[in-house]
Amino acid sequence: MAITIMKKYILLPAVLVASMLSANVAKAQEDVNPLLKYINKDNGLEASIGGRMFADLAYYHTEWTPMNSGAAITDARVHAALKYGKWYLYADFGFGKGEFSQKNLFVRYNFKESLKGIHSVKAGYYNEPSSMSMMTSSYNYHFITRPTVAQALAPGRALGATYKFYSRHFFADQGIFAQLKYNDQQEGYQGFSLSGRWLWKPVNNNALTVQFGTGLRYQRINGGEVYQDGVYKTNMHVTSNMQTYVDETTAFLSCDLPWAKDAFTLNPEFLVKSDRFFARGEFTWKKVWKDRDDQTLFESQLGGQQSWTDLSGWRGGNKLRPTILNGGYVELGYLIFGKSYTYDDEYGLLKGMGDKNALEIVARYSCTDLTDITKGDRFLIGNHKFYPDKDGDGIGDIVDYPYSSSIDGGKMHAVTLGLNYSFNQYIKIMGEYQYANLSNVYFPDDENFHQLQLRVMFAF
Amino acid sequence: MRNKLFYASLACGLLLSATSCEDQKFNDTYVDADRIHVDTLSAEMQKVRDYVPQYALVAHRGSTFWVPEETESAYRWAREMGADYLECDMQVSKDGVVLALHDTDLKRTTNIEEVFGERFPEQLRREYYEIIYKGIGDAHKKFIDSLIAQDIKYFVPNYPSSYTYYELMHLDAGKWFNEDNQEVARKGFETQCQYISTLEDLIMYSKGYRLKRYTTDITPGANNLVWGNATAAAGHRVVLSMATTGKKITNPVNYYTVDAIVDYECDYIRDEKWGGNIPGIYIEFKEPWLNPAGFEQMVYDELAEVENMNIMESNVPENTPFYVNRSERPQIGSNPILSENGRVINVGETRGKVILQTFSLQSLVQVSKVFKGEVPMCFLLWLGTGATDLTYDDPQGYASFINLGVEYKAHYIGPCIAGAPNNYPELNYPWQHNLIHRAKMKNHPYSFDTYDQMAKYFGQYNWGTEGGSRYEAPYVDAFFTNHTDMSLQYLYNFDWRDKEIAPYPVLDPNDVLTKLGYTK
Repeated sequence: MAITIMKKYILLPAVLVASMLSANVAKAQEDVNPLLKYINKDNGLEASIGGRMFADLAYYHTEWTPMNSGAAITDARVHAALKYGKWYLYADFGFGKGEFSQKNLFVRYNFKESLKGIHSVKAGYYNEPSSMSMMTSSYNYHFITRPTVAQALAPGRALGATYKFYSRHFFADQGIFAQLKYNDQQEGYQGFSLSGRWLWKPVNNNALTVQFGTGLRYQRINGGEVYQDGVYKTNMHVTSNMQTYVDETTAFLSCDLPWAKDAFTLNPEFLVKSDRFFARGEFTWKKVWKDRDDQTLFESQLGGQQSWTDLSGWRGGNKLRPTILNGGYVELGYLIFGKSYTYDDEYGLLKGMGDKNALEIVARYSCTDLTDITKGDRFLIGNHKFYPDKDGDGIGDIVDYPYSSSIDGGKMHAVTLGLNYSFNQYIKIMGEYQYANLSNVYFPDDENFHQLQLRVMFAF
Repeated sequence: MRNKLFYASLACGLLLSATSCEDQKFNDTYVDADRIHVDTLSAEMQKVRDYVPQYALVAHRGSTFWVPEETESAYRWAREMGADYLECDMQVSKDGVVLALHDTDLKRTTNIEEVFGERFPEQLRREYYEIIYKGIGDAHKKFIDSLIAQDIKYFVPNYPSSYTYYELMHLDAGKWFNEDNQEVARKGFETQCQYISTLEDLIMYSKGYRLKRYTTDITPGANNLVWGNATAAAGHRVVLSMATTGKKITNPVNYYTVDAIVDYECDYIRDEKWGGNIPGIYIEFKEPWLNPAGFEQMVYDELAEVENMNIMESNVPENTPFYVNRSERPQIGSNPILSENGRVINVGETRGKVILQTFSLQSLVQVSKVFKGEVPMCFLLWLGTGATDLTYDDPQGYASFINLGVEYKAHYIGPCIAGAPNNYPELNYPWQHNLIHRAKMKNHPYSFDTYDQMAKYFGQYNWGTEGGSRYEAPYVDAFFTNHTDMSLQYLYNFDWRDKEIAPYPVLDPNDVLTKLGYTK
């Protein structure tokens, strides 16, 4: 009896680990179970190659600034994967638009596969663990694009190393990453980031997954350019497209944060998944601190009649302050036809819809706020300058100088409704309608955006 | 069911592909210009707008081509040629004299480098203080010494506001012109010393006066002759008195020192060559950091004090004609330069006698507070990245500056125009002119130097026709020119100006200069 119970205690976790591992082996990074595989059981070797392609069709309706309706190949990639014992190597490259681009390139080692979970280390070039949305493969996403907030504020791929632990109820993925993958800053050391994503899954079984967690990221920005008089200027460019790739313009949601030096991102998230329903969402809050060599810049402007005569005066005319950006989204899905939604323990993510002849309806609300405008500031679009409210009447006062340091990268609310159909896991089509409401002083006559999109995609 | 949904989605795709082709869009300036919103002038503002004659000719700095700009010779010439307005830029001397001077650095248009170099003019400054603060004894000497010490401490060379007008009168504003423009040089610009003009000088020139100058009959050193008491020779201007007014200004350049405003009683005489023209003046406020706080009020007050130029403080009949018969000028000069048709310019006697202008956004606001939109005002535009510039000249950007002009009580927009020799950026495309008109404003572009430019903006060429019938030439309502002679001739030749109403024919510019005494 004791032996039986003991076997039960040993076997059940072992089965769990084995099932996670088997999924891991088959779909470690690939979008689908690869069709082209080479398996050498004698040497414990398994290799695969594959690829994917997205073709999108879009029609846009805007009020002032046109977007280019039409069709485009929005993604084309090839990948190769190799598993050798506990080692896993993966590489994929994009060649969309006829241009080579480096995508994922990493090696992973599962160094401990215990009853309590799986431990692994990973190094190379891949997505920083911080945002649920950004960690999800585009092929397995339930919308044609990720939400604007994720595009704008969540990190993408970077060169780094992570340690990950995951089990049925917990997930922890954290690591360190370089700011520039080619170390191509003009001078000095480049920056780095510390990123992590931690999840708790109070309920996690085949029928239901409930997941809460957060991502945290600290970013140190060192790479920049020589500005003047040897002053090194850093910058953070924050941008997103309009949740479409056919016209990838990022003009509507875009800002630069000059002199950005340190940034902290908080990214709480949730996920609820049942067989026929999912709901998930994230909120992203990013604060960016700035640093500038005021003394050198002040001294370099001395010597003219129009010079600032003291450092505090110069600072008053060239204000610098931290900037806070934020946004969030909620995504809902209902599987009309198909077996069930599935969940990926290794990445803490909802998997893509891949059942044969499956059909789902999805909806998303997203909001992205890239504005940091001082109350009362007035913006003049003829010169793209903000004027501060000097007399306190609530309206910015038109002067020749100095200007306000306000930033407006746009604020957008978007609602997306989609219908997705999968012939099988290798071929899918997606259709979406989206309404977006934009507020951006640089686009005063662009408020309402409508777009219809259709995607055909395949992976193998 | 699945099949139906599948075919429905395919149908959606086909529909998308069809609709995306039929409504292809791209940025179309003409379409955007048609649909962009612009604010409009009130009926009251439109009435002030129309104080100015249509196709008024503004003599830019008098002229930059024929004569040393913004000097007596420039303004006398433009007046006699028949310009509707004499244009100037306003700055201020250290002692509060409003100057008619363009450059913020005195090097280009004066001989300051050979007169002062970059030295503090201590000897002249002492003379100046002795004149305005008369006194004797040690205490007086200490007082003057203390003033000099402070002036030395905060002195910044070459800026007009670093020098008293007493010192500025020692500079020659005519010689440089002869050196730089040998083909139109005239000895007369040197023999009749050309001074940095004051606003008062400009007004007096416009009214048919000229500077009173020392002659061999007036002995320097006479008690009432303050300027040049010790050094003036024949030909120099006469200043009857200099006295502090009790008012102060904060010097914008000399590190915000506080200076006393001095009243110069300059003397003028009726210009013997004056043929009866009384043009208006078109005066520019420069950026506030070049002038003391309250400069707009200073100008307001001076316009009120000199020849009733401030229409807010004087009663000018509403329908005073812009052009009249010479018979209405009994006081014309003794040896006048006359128009053949007996007509003379009368703009300077109308409600449009003064037009204000500025590039500065801040000055635009300040001027609106002081002049309240009751004096014609032009908001000038320049395309660039400077503090006062329009940077984005698409319909939205252009309209935003028009709206700023409307909000702050400007009646005209003054855009720069392209073309040799200045090759300014173009801010007067037909659609831009149209936007100005949609705001019920009028268009005063600058600066015309060639026949080509006249022909282009008056519609003789086919410029602007790509915009279709929505735009009709001319793309101008009044304009700044450096060639009053050429521009006037163009207006007459193409019937933009009535030969029966305005002075006609156009005089020969060289002949006028010779008659004015500026000999070759």
